[in-house]
Amino acid sequence: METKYRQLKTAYNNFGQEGPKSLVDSFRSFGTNEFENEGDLLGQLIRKHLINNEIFFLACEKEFVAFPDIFQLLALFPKTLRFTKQIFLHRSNPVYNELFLQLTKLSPSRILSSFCDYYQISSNEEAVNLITFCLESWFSKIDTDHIDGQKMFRQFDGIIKPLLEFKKLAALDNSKARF
Amino acid sequence: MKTDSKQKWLEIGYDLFGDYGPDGLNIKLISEKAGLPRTNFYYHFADKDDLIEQLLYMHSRMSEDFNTVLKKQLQVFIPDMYKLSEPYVKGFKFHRQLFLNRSDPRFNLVYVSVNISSNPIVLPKIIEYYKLNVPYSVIESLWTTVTDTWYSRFDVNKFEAAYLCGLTEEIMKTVLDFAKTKLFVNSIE
Repeated sequence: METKYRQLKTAYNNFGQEGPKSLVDSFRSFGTNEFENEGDLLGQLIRKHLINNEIFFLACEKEFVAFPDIFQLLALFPKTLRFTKQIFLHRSNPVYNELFLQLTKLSPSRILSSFCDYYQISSNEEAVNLITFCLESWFSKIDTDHIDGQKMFRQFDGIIKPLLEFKKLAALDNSKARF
Repeated sequence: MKTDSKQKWLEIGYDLFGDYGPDGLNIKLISEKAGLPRTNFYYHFADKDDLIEQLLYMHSRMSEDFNTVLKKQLQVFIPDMYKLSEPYVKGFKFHRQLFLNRSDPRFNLVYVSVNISSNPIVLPKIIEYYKLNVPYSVIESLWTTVTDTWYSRFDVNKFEAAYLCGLTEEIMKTVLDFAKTKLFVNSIE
């Protein structure tokens, strides 16, 4: 069990650094004692990643972290962040795309409400869609080799503010807009 | 002849970068594909970084060509924009890799500057097509994020005008639907 845990941890870190191509080397070096094949290894890595995300959200709840301090806390989870960035980078693969979309919609209600308070918007489904939309751009901008909570917040803020500005102005004239 | 061999290194390097990103730029592999000895690489380029620099320059030039085409032929944003894009599949693949690897400042700089360079041509058409009545600067910032989202979702294997149009419409629908919702606590709507 300990071997499996250690191998999973190594494979997780390798995936965060190198992406899916690391699976071949990780599986080759571990052999078939703990994992049946690369697909099994990937499945277990994804499960581990979902658990790591849960741990991050629990930490947010436990520490009563509000937006935008959540980015400082996120900076303390570099391996989880690197793994998600790799998922983002390989989302042309439907498996990773599905997982990326799932991950971006995971925000627990307390985080969502603190995000909404900060930007003075209503906490509803649109707010969740807005976060997802912003994260697609945000993940391309963050540098997971140099993780910095304040910088990550500035990057997020720089993405969302023009959208909110557009919304404010378009709301005044949306009768004419297409769709 | 010297220029021809340099062009071969650049063209194959450009394709490999577009397919696999900067990690895919393997001198041995390019040498095999080009049928040129590796020593020839060092005749033209100081090292791999030098090759990358010249590929980035090549990409910027190609984008200028694309902008010239847009300037002359872009009338209605959709579908013209994407019909005109079809011959530039390699450029789009390369540009997507710049986006995915933008944590490297060199790639981010070229990605952003190429996007900005097309704004004066494309944005007025977008404003017209979507009937947007907000200041140009707001559309400019909005389009930056839409472009990021576009490249984040873009599947190079589906590169054809209909798919590209659909992708833009899907993203813009999200943005415009969002603009219509009751979102603000302090009602402006």
